[in-house]
Amino acid sequence: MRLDQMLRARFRGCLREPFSLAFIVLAVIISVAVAVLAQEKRETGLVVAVINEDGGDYAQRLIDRLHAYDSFTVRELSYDQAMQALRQDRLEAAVVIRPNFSERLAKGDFENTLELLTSPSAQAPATISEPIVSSVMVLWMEALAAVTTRDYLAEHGLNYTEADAQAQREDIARLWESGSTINVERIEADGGDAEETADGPIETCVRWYAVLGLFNLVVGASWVLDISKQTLRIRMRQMGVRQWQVVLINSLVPLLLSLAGYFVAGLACAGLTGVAPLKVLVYLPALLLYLFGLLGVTLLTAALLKNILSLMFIAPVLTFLNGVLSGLILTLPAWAYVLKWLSQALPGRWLSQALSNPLSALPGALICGLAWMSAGIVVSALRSKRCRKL
Amino acid sequence: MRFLRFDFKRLFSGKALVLLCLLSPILVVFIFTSVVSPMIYSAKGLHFNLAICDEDGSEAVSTFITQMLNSQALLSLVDAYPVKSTEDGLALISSGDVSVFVHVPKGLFEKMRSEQAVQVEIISTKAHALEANLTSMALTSALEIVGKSQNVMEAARQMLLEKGVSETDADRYLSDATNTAIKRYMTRREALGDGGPVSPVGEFLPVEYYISAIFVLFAALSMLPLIHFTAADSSGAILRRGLLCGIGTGRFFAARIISGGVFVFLVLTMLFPTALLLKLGDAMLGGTYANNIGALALALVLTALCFSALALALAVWLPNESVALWAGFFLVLGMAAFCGALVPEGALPAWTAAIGRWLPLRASMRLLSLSLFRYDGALFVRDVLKLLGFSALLLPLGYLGLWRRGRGV
Repeated sequence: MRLDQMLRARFRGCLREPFSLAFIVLAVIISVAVAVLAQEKRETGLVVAVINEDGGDYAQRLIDRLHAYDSFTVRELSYDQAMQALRQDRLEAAVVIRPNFSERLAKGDFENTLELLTSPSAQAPATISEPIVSSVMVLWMEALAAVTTRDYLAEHGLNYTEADAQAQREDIARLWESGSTINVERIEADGGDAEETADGPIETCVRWYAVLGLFNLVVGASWVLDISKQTLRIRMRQMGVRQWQVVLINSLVPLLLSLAGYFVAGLACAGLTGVAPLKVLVYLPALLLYLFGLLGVTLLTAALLKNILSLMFIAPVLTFLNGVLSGLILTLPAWAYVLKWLSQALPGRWLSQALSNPLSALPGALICGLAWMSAGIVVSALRSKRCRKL
Repeated sequence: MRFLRFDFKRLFSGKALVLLCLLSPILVVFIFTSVVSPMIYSAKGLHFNLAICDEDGSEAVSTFITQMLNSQALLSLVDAYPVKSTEDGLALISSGDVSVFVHVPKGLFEKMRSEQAVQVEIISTKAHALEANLTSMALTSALEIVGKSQNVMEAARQMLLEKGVSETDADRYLSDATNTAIKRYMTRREALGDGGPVSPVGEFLPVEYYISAIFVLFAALSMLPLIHFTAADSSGAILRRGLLCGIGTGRFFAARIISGGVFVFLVLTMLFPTALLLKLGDAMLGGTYANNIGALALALVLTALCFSALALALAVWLPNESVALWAGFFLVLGMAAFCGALVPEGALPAWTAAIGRWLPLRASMRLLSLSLFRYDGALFVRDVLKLLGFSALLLPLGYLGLWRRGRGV
């Protein structure tokens, strides 16, 4: 039997198994979605929601003032919408303008007129709140000036009419226009782009696809169990096919399917986020070595566990451990020296490094991949030998 | 009883699988609590270095800079380093020693007094856009409040003069009003009442939420061996032989539900030491955990019963072993996604959360969280009733399916 016939037969077999193919589709969808969401968050910058429960003049003026800041984007939302967005980490903070805001401010009070809710991952809630509080204070000072002027004039037997209050407000506005203006200009210096590379949309997509790739390979590793079956071995012998050929062909099929999934995910991500599609090719060598290492892991795991049931159980565990310990979806904390050192044995660690510097990680990835593949082949061969003896 | 013993032996025959079922949740919980949990749904503790070059050098500007750097907006956020020249600041930026460089130009104060436009520059690289944004936010708001409040008070003084108040009295008023404003301004953060972070995991800490989620997820995964054995038995020799020997559908059903329940229960039992450790640690630290071991035991029994019934129902109604196994696997993954075991319920889109409400995994997760960390009788009873409802639906469904298979034999 020719190898290309075997390959075609194996491909057909894979395509007939919708269950395991579904994981590649899911991996593509999830990785693209995570990358697009991350890109969206990066582009919108800091977003602050305003919930106007007051509806008065001062509340509207506060919202207008907040819109004038270019350091964050203001969105007017309902309370429920804002809470949902905060929980989904799509907002930095939400400001609730309480119902008595305008009334209290007009009387010269500002205490407890707002409520600031922040996202659990807000990086600088105190800093975010400062422009909001300052804007309230500017409005409050206007109101306070009107109140104290009125009281002062009343004490001295003079009138302070609504027309006077209006004239005073116009005077403040005129002084604001004609007075000194202090501008804060932001200048972007050159350099520092390297740090950003590892966090771009394609990189995020590659990270997630790589993590979910292990799940797909382990769950769909029934072929490793099949090649040890007595009946299959007899048929293989009759057809003159050697065991290494079966292993090679069977490994090649999930590898090619995973690569196809990578191209679909990468190109979709590039198309949706406007990144150059060529970037998909930049990470191809590293991903190839990563998948090669994962095949070794799969071969080893399947040879040790012996049944599909155990593979189903171990797949989420291995996916979680690989994602976390290799640094693909989380950076290991600074104190975890031992884990960081141990993570060098994981293919994902080298892929993660390759996303920052594609060439420097390749030797490590190659050694790691070869080590896992050798371990997988040795254990698999030993197991086959044991099965033959039985 | 003999059949039940046989069923136990059969279910626990794969030692590797049993060990995997029992140890996996512990390993995952250990890695999660030590590595993952401190990194999710918590502030990243942003802190950066900032260089300032004050070319103006006037006392007023120096005071303003000191006050701004010591304000709540920046105090915990930055470490500030004064530099002598723009070149020094730019060198620090390009070397990466500081994230942001603030340049205050010469003659800033004098220009302000003569009502000319002035410009302060914030310089950073693209990689530190967030830090530059935060600095700009703090600086802009601080400068605005200085400029605007001066204008407001000046306008009030102008009004008094227009009303015929003498210049001396107007100046005294201005001074008094400014002092009052400054005093009140110092307490400006009182504008913010209650508030704080909104967590997607509700009243629980992420680590509390995910301990329950991980154990329930593994309990659900432990349905797979039950599905596998039940699907194989009910379509083959075991059921046939059992029926011929007088072991009716009822006995087969009862034995499988009990042995399956025990299997799932065993996976969940490692929560008991977790609960005891939490209680012990909490008592030592004087914390406020309100766990209830009795409630936890009930939650585990109900979860085990419900998942055992679900596994049996799936195995007997789906056509063959392979389909039942894969369907069970996808169901577990689907339940994990929709019920908030992967992404917390609060962060899920409304439609997924609505679907999750009709699946038993969420009720189990809530029962475990409540009994381990924040026991609340009313909420606990509600979820107990939900799980009982699911069991009441799944048990007859499983029995009917088995009876149907038995008739076919």
